[in-house]
Amino acid sequence: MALETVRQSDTCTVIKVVGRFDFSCHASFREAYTGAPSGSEFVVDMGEASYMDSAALGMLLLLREHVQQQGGRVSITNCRGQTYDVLQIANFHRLFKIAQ
Amino acid sequence: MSTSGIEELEAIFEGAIEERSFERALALVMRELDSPRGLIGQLDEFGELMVMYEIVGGVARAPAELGLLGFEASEWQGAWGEALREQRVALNNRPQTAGPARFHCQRELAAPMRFNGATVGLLYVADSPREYTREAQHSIAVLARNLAAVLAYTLTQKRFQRQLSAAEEMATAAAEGERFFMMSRDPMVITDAGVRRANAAFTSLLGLLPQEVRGKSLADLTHPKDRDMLERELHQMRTEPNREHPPVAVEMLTKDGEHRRVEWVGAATEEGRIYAVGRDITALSWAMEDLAITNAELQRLHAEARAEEQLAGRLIAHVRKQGCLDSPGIQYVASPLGFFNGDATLAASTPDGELRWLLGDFTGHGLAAAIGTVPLAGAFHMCCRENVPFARMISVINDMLKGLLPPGLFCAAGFLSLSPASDELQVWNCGLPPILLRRCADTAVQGFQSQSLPLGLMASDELGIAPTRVSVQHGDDVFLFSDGLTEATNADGQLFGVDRVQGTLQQRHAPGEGFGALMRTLAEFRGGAQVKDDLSVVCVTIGQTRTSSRGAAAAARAEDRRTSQGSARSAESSQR
Repeated sequence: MALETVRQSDTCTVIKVVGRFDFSCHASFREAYTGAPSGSEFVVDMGEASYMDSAALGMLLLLREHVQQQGGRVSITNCRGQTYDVLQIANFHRLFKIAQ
Repeated sequence: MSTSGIEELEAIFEGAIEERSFERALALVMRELDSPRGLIGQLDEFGELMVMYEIVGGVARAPAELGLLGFEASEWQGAWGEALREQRVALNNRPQTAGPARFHCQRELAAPMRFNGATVGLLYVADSPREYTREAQHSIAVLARNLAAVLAYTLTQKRFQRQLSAAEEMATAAAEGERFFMMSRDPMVITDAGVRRANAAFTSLLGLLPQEVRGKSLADLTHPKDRDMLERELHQMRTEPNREHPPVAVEMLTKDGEHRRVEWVGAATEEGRIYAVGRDITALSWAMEDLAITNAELQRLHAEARAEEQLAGRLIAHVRKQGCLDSPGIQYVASPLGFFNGDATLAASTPDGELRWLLGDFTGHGLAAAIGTVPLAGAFHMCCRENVPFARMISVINDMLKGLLPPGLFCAAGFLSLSPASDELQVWNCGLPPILLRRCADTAVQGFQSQSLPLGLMASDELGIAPTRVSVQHGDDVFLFSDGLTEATNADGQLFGVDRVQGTLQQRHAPGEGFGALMRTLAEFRGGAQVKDDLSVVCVTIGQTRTSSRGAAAAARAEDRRTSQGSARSAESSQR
């Protein structure tokens, strides 16, 4: 697993997940969003994620909570295959803006 | 021999002996006896002939080039062999028939070189164009006698030189050894019954002066508790001398009464003298003791943690075990009880005779995930006991978990409810893989997809909980499973997936047999791949279930009411 964080602008941060998105990403995922300016918009790019588990869902929820407190938004993009199924089963579209 | 020859020879050996004297003397002898080939050999201390000088056809060869070393007496052939064996001058004017290959010659003459009654070497000439005569024999005898004294002197000289340098070497080695002995920071000691010598490291280790150590036995310098052991080890060293023995660690006593732990390695000579080198391991043993204490502490803490874990495991197991999961018509696999895991498989009946199942899968691992199963099970059983309607029960559990779980933790779950008459099923899937209903009549498999967020994330009134109702018949099977089933992997890392589950269930089975078939397919798929512990599957076979006695009684009452109202519906199946 690897994470690439790109600050697109002062108010938008893209976190790109590469490989398996599971508990092993916990610390680095957290690092990727703490310290962003308040009111930021976050995009989690799943285009290169091969797998995600419920621990990853938990991490997304933590991100959401953090961003909501700061008055920002989270969207999840490029979901396909297993990652899309997992988000779908958990009905996470009720919490996040999810794009395939 | 001519007078001039003798004079010349004397001139050669006059004054200091120099290396080339022998070569020149040999040349003179060859000229005197008209021989193109000659040698001077010396006998070494083992009685073997070593060639010192050889001249063939006027060319002298240095001894190093000569290969004729180490011929034993029995191998000496011809005149020179006879001369050495019989201690007389030997003449041989016949061609040699045998002998060392490089000494084929027509005529030879050899004389032993004797000095003070001992043979020190051999003078040898060969291949004179004329036959060797008695005169020649006399001449070589004289020359050999003259050379013998010089050779004996030279040999003595050389032997002395050798001994001297060997002695010097030994002295140097001894001095160097002594230097190491005294310089060494490891204690060293040489001891018989008492200490003969000890180095500075030894005396300073014990805070004693050299004279205070001398003559004392090692045991005297050792702590009483270790004396017997040390004596035994020393005895062992003396019993098996000249080899190194395994190290022996003892407490030594310093002058001030302090203890120093020293590890000794030693060897004894045949005479029973022991040479030993020690190493002060006092600090090391303290460190080891500290480590042992720390280790014991860690083990104690670990045991405590284990005990607490087991207690918590038993508590959680107890909560999970309530209910009627082990009743007829229900088959399941669940993670082992007492092992922390975020999966919970629960079953209970309501007083009205309704049967309910819950499969919950908390995010996370270990105790953190397992802890959530306790309130989940508590709420589930309480709601069933209190006859809380199915959809209401789900709301209660969801709101309870929402208030309880920290952000990031949630519970994917599936709920089932079977009507007292076993003819209607209610399904609510919030975050699990599809709940599958296998129709006995045509083996068709119907899936109930997750229709909601997992439990604990959003307030129930926002979720709109409305379980799906579906009518069922005897022999239908309902499968409820966690993602541990669909995400089980084989050796190639492939996922088991929902399609394989459906495929297996669509095959021809008797009611209830799909569960076993599914488990077999899964085991086959996994092969040697490591089995994860988070697999939970529940299979309910409609028409084979039975409510608890209390629930059954209520169901019977309900049945009575229905019968009295003239209902045609039969509820027999609910209480087979």
